Amino acid sequence: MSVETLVRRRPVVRWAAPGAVASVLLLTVVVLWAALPGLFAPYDPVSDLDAAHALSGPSTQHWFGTDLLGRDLYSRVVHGARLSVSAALIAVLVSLVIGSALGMLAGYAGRGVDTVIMRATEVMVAIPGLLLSLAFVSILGFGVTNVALAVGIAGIPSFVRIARAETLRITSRPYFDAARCAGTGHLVTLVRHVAPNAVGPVLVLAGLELGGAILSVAALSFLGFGAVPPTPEWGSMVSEGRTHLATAWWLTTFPGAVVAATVLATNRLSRGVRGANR
Amino acid sequence: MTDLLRVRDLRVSYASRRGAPVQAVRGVDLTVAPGEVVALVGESGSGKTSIGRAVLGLHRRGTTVTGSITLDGRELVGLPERRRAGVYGTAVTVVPQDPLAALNPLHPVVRQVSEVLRVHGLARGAAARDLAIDALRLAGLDDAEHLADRLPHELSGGQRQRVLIAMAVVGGPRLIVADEPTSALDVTVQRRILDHLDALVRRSGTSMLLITHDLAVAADRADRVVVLADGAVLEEGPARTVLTAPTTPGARALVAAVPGPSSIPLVAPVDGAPLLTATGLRHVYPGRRGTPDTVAVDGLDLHLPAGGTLGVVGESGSGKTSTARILLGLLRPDAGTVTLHGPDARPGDRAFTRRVQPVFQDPYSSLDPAHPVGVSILEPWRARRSGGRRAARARLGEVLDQVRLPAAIAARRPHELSGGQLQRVAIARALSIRPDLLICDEPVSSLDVTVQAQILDLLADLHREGLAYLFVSHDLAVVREICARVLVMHRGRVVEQGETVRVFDAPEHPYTRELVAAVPGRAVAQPSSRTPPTTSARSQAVEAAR
Repeated sequence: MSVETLVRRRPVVRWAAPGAVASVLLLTVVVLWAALPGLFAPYDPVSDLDAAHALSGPSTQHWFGTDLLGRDLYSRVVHGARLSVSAALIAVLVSLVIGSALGMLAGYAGRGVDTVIMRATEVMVAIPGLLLSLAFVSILGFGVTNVALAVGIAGIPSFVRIARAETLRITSRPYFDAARCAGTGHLVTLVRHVAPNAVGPVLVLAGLELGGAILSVAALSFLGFGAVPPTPEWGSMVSEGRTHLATAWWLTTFPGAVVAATVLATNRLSRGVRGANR
Repeated sequence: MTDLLRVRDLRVSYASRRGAPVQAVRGVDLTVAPGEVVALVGESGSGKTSIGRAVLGLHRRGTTVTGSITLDGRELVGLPERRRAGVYGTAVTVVPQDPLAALNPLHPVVRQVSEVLRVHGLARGAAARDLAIDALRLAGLDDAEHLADRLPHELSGGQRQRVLIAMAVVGGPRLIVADEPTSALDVTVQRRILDHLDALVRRSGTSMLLITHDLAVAADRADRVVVLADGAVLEEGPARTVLTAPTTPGARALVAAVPGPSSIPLVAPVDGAPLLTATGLRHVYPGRRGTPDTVAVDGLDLHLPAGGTLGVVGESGSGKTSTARILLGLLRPDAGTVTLHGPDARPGDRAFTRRVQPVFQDPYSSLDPAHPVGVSILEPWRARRSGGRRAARARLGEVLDQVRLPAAIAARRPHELSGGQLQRVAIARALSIRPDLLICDEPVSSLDVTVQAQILDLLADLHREGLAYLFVSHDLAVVREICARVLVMHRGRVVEQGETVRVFDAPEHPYTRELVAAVPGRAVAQPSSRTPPTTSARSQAVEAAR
């Protein structure tokens, strides 16, 4: 018994795995892009027009090539990170806060409250996430913030489920009974005992969802709900380049590859953390 | 007489993720003669299971086994994989600890028994089945033909353990390794199964290596006992000698810590004013999908005077834990009332929990892993906002002192502490608001005997300071030591109650009689020669051994 508990309580993260190292490096770069785009982008993403080199392929001068107006694609990708990543973060934050609160409430209150919350969640799960986001963004209106909110709302059910499951696990532990016997109030018990012990699996899920959120935000922007040109955003850049796919492959390939790599990297890392948490 | 099993300088170490490998067994010598039952006893971490696994040739990855293990002169350490089948399953077999985990849930039990025969080419088809049913019958499974085609989950714990015994004996082994074969079972079932295993082994002249933490079981069943500590042999010899007159301090502490079936109680009956009264308690767990309702508690009356000690004993499913939970206000009874005398209070009320506090069974999960233990200890105190920060810190120091823990421990997290320390922390938490009554649900059953002895002494001391406690336990010997009065539960009802010594020495109800008779340790019980285990003397013996 004690051996098992010791092993479980002292997770050892195997950071040495090459995939994990690459993922950490890649995400660090993306985060730095988002935080300090000016430091990494050689040109202004909107106003630096190099008409002489419009629609030119990757070169030492323009790493990712240039677009129709001669703007440096690499600079646009770097600046696009800020919008795409922060939109995804907002989306995950929305799902996490609302989902965890509802899940903890359902698990803690039980009975009628639980039934109502869980049936509503199941209804949401029944509708494909992207479709749900589309519906919400149609209601909320266009714009990056609304895209983020819509993606966030569609992501709520998975957080409700995991937070509820964790709450049920914790409320069956003796330390929860001890807190009840100690005379601690319900709200304090939730904050002091349930939340800290549920946070691990919820954060792992948040990591996994982040990848999906980046993809969903890009997808909605691609469909034209998000960033308005000329603002750089990964999804809309892929969309803009689509018409020139036959002649200028770099317009879609580089932003798309960055999205794919970022999503894969977040997934790889959250999976690693989850494995260590087990 | 040549030995059947001969273990020489056995060393087992496990690779650890950080640092040096963990030495579980450090040079153990051991022999088992044909037909002999040898018990390996020791506390958790003493290496007894590692020795058993080494004898069985079961090594997890990262295990290093050196030394020599011979069976009839044949070396088993480093036996090539393809030669294993010639030894294990036929010559050497195992009776594992957890009967549910050890059986394949998808196969009928008879198939799992006959598999041994089929794998070793001893029998096949209908013949194998017949032999398997014979083995099940031999293992004491009544109505073996009928139960043979059941799946493991359709059998009770005791029946499953018999299936495992059948698997162990069906191949006609020379040596059976029984690793805590009955630790998961109730005493009456344990007794029947051990009786049976005993008879089976003696009749067929098979040898047995019995691994157990329970010295009383070892005393009753073994010819020879080997006491282990820290992976080395502390003492060995005939069971009676080792367990009545141990020579090494370590073995002496271990033996002193075991409450015997006729030990003298540490506490005296109290005739105080009434403190807690329960009348007509009843709780039913509704059955799901066709299964009948389970009546956990069925019309229970209970009375505890101020400063009194009451034991609640019974086997699993007798309703004792449900009773404790009702008394704590964690479970709402379907009928009946709980009255706490003095300031009016009902279970679950803040005024009630101010005076009644719990101690739970598993110390590892009764403290929130997210907080330092000091925070947990002060939780009942903080919930009542009695006094400021300074008063809280002073109280923390007091209760830690009371449970004899160093003050520095308050800053540690639960996973950094041992089971015994955690249980003291849990008691400190309960004591922080100076309750009148502790409700302890199996507070020592997951602890090693020496640690158990310390916790029991602590409870007895607290009782002397005026604290009342209700002590729920399956262990009659423990209850005898620290409860002046006892209440015996069976299927949700109280079948007998009274002064502990009277109830256990002269039980009136047939069920109590059965329960008392099943308590192991009779072989070495010598009430006359044994001095009353005064708290200080015993704790000193235990301390001296550390």
